[in-house]
Amino acid sequence: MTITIDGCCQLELGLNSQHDVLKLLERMDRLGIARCVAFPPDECFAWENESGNEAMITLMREHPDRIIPAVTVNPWRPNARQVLLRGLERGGLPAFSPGVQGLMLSDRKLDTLLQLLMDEKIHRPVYLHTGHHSHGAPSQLALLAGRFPQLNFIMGHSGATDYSTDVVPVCRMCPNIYIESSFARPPGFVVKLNQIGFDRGIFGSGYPFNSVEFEWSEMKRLLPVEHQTAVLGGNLTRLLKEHSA
Amino acid sequence: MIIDTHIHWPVTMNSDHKSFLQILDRFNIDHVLLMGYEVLWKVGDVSECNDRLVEFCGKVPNRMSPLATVHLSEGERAVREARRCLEKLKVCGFKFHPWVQGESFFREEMYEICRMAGEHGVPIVFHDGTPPYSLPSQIGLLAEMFPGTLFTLGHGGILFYWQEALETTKRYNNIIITLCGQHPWAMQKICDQVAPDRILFGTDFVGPGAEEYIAYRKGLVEGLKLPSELREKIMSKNAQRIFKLS
Repeated sequence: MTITIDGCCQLELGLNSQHDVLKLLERMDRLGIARCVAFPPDECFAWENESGNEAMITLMREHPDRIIPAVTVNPWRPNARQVLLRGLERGGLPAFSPGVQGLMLSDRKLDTLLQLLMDEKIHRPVYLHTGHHSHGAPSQLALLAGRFPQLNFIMGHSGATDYSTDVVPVCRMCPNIYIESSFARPPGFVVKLNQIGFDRGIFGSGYPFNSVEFEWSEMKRLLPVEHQTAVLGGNLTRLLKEHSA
Repeated sequence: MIIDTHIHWPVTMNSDHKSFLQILDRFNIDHVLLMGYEVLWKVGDVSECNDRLVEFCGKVPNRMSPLATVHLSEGERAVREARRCLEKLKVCGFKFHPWVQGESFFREEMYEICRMAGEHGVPIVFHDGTPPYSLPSQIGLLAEMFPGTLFTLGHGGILFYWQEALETTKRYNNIIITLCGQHPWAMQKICDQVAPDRILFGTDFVGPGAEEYIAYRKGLVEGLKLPSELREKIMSKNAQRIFKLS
């Protein structure tokens, strides 16, 4: 049976976190979404890395069949490798947001952290937020992905909005890049998958900035029926399984 | 009633107004502020494009109103064309897309056009949300320089500059913001914080083949929590007043 997954949800920390996650899970239940990738808020990408990672991993432990925790570290930190490793060892999906973390997506500082994945044989896909004008261009991701052909990369937000034109040439050049749909708008996202293949697409709602219900229903409305299983969870499940083997 | 204040059609390549109207009907859009599309990419002569746009809208004036453009890099010719659009073609306003048109608007030709637009009481609609030529704060500088002219942020900052768009709109009373391109979280903040008379709706439909964007963008706004009076203003009344639509 294929698992349905929302590939991009951001959850709150602190007092509201329990309420937030239960509310999200309830909405997922109503839609038939089994799992979601849970990202900590921006401040946890920028600075409070450990508390964000810890919170997402705790959520996974509380809801093991529902939450896939994203973990991160700011690559500028001197102890970045240790912080990331701690998150990865406990099951985290590595994620970076160069625009928030203050470096270009193609920056060599990320190499050290990606090399850590290789060294530790933790070959999970790496989620990278794209779309920030100076720091998140898909072409920058192509440089990074070209240096690590053994890893798979998820192009978070598919370059939305102003790099929409770059997504197809980048994906044609880099077979190890998959695209995630949040903020890229279902009509345009489906057009891109038509050109690069539906086996490269990952649905993400962008909760709470977008409505899970509306993004899910629009994606289902616009995706060809024969590709819904893949994009709505199958592709990400395959990536996660491939790399846990 | 729905007035879409941000919609394109490639009028020099497709003059079939009936197919355009069919699209509007399909999505229950009553009136549009229409901009060209190919003209922004500098395809063809800009005067001819403006003529064709006005001619296209003139076929069904109760459904379509034209927003002309000029290319600032054409210097004095741009100013003359803008004057012609106002005085002879009687356009409802101007549209500038500095990112696609590849021109900074901090130049004398733009200032002259701002003065003219203010004198004629027509707004200037900008693409915004994209550096280095289309930041909301840059448009805010124009608003400060020309307090008698209305400026519209055609995207309200899109994804990365919506907070800047919100700040700019709060600071300058002659800035109008459009719900068109942001995520609904940002749209809701805008609706909660901006004066009700200064918010518009747009789809950014760019022409044949992109119809689903209209459904998507309408759906986003339909999901917002808005009092009915505010919704009515955003969806039609503000546009009627700002663009002087009869």
